[in-house]
Amino acid sequence: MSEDKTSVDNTVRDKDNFAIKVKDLTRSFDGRKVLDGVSLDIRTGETMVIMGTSGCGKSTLLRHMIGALTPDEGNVHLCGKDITQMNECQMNEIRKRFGMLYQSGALFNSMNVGENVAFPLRQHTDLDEEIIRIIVKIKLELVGLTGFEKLMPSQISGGMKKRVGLARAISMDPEIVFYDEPGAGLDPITAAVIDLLIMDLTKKLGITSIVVTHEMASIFRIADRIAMLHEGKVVETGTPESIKNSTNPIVQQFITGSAEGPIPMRRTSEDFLEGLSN
Amino acid sequence: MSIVILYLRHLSSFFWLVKQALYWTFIGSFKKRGFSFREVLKQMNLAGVNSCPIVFLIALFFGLTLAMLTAYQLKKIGSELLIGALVGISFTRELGPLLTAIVVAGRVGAAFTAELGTMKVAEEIDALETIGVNPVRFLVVPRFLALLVMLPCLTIFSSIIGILGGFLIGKFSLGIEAGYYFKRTLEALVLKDIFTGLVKSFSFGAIISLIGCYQGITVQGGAEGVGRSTTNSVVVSMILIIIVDCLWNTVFYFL
Repeated sequence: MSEDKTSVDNTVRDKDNFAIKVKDLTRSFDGRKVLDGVSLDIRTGETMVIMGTSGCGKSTLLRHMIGALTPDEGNVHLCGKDITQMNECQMNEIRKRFGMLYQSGALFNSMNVGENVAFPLRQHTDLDEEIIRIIVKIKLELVGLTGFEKLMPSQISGGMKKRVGLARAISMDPEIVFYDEPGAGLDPITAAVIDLLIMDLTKKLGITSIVVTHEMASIFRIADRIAMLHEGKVVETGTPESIKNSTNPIVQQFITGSAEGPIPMRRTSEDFLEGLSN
Repeated sequence: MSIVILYLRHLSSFFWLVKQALYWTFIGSFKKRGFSFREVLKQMNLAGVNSCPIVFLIALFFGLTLAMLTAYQLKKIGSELLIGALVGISFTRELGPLLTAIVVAGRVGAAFTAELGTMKVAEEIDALETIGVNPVRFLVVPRFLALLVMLPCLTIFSSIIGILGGFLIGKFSLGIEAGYYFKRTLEALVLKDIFTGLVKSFSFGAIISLIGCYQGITVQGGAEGVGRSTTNSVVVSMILIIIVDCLWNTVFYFL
């Protein structure tokens, strides 16, 4: 309820200051409500971390923000435009303005690193090969992989793949970059390097970042603001400090990482299946 | 009941893919960003040229077998000289298109499904969409066009090689002269037979590529899903090939 109010207030205050506005987003899969009236506003230039337990709907929310899924109810405004009402052609125009880093990097395995980074440029622009080569070089340098153009994705490590994925995500100079679990499956040091890169890019290029993750160390390192998602609802939003000092037991259980608390662990598969069908 | 709904859902999404593929092949290609011609050539090489050895081998042996089988029966009524005509018509009308399509469904259709399925599992297809590239345009259309062109080509070659296989038996087992054998073959063949074979192979090419791609981009789950879809792709393609072959035969029989 309070979320609703703030989103209305924000609309009145300043319309252009928000990169993304999500309003009353509801989506069910096979009768199970994964998103239940999510409202979230993300300011231009900030790093917003969406955190929550596995299966709380974070990834589903992210997929709605990038227009990969359409909601049952509610809408998503990206760069001031409602993407839920768009046709494919308009959506593709909007897609040029944001990038996304997938959990696995999602590099095209049939192309080398350089071709992967150049792919969005080749598809959307008529730039000369020479200019594309320079842009690719700059983007790879930004993620610390100078000279890796000729390697194939199968030849580089998981952390490098993510960095190449990041270089590809920013190759069109997007205003917004989405990150799906940037630290997943990486060792703590590599994860920290990726976090540094995210912060660096946000500062250097003024990019709005939306990070979906459940890794606490990473969350408090990179976040300007945090939204906690639980059972398809935003239970709390705020700065890292206010989240740390939150009195909400759900938030406290999550950030302290304790097994005891209001977030139940499902004990039997019957419980779980019942939860799915309810 | 739910299984009926599932099949109907598959059917409607398959027709969506067919519509999209046709749109991007014939209408979308005149837009600024059509399909990539280089990709079509690459797929033609992978699906067509690389299939030559196996298709030729099977056509040759089938030609030999068919000639031996018919000679065995025709000998009884003393009309072995007819095997040229028989092998020729069987291959151009029926066996050439069918054999080639079945071999290509196993070799190329399965590869399409496995490749696209792995891309789907590795989020590569999602990434394409997020970049603003239509996966049908980028992945399906080159494969569709490649098979549409290459399967008839392969069929023509396999028919020729099948006829040559029949000739080997005619020449070395029955002692029929080359000139006479091919004269009888060409006499028996009419343009309609060749046309029938080509029409069939066009439709088989469309079936194999579209089913292969559809099964690939709808993979669910991980490695297991890719395996299941690859099996489905080959099974469904083969069933459809046999059914469509029968339909075309009906059409051309009464025409």
